Amino acid sequence: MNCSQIRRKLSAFMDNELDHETSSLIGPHIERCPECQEYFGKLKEMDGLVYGLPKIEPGPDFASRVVSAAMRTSAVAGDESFSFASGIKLAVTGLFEAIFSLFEPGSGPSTGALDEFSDSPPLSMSFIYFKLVDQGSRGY
Amino acid sequence: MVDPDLALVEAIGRCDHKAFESLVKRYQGPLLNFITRYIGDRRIAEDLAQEVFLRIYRAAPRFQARTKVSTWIFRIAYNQALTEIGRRRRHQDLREALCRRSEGGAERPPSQPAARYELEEEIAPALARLPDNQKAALLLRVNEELSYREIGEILGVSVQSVESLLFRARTSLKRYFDKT
Repeated sequence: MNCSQIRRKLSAFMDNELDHETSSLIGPHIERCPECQEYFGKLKEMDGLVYGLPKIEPGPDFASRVVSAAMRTSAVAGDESFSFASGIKLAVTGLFEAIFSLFEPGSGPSTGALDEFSDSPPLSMSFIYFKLVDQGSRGY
Repeated sequence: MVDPDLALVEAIGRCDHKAFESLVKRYQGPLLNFITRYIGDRRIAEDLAQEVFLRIYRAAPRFQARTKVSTWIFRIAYNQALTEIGRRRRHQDLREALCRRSEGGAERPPSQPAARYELEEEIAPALARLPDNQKAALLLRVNEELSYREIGEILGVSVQSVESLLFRARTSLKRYFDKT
């Protein structure tokens, strides 16, 4: 390997990321070649400059703020899923209650609104219609 | 070799807040250091670091240990930082941000020794001139001592690409300081 080829591998050699065969060529070359030795030294110096930069440290309350934010996130997610699920449940429950109550006239909420139509037989269209209207007005 | 952080992540997946706090304390320094040096803005870096940890918290139940936890964490951080850089570029703020001295360097903190301040003044502009992927590779290698394979997983490139990125980053820095 010539000096140009050696220098292209010096970065990986510095990081111990070369295979044994290549490393075994580079080490002895650096020892006997002043130019490559100087080049290698400069590369290590660059790493030293970067490593020597002051380490950025978080404030003392950073961890507690992050944990609090995470707990708020999970609480909100829990509330949202509860609201969505409970909303679905309420709608389905209401639908089935309305359907089942059609088959039990008089056993559910007051059918006062049907007094005018008391001659409507159960399960007739008029009976069902006013039953639903009556339930809707009561918020069921 | 068992990943020492795997048990923590599994506990976080079971909503163990103590485990989450332990993970945060373990990685808050390295993460904040990496993001700050990468994007050059301490204030935004703290927000990004918090966002990284929140993403970890949400994703912990789905973590499948196909990679080391540390690699996973830095990958999320790198992606967040890239998104921020992209956002700033779109607003044409990046050049000003990169040329502007970092918050820690705009005025020398009274507690910071003169030599360290001068070092930061020297190296920060040189780092800022590196392409994003070279800078990321160099920071991860020098500060976190990650292997080429780990760096490749974080940056989404091959080991050979990592070798090339580091070679070019170091020679670019060398050329910069040879001229100054």
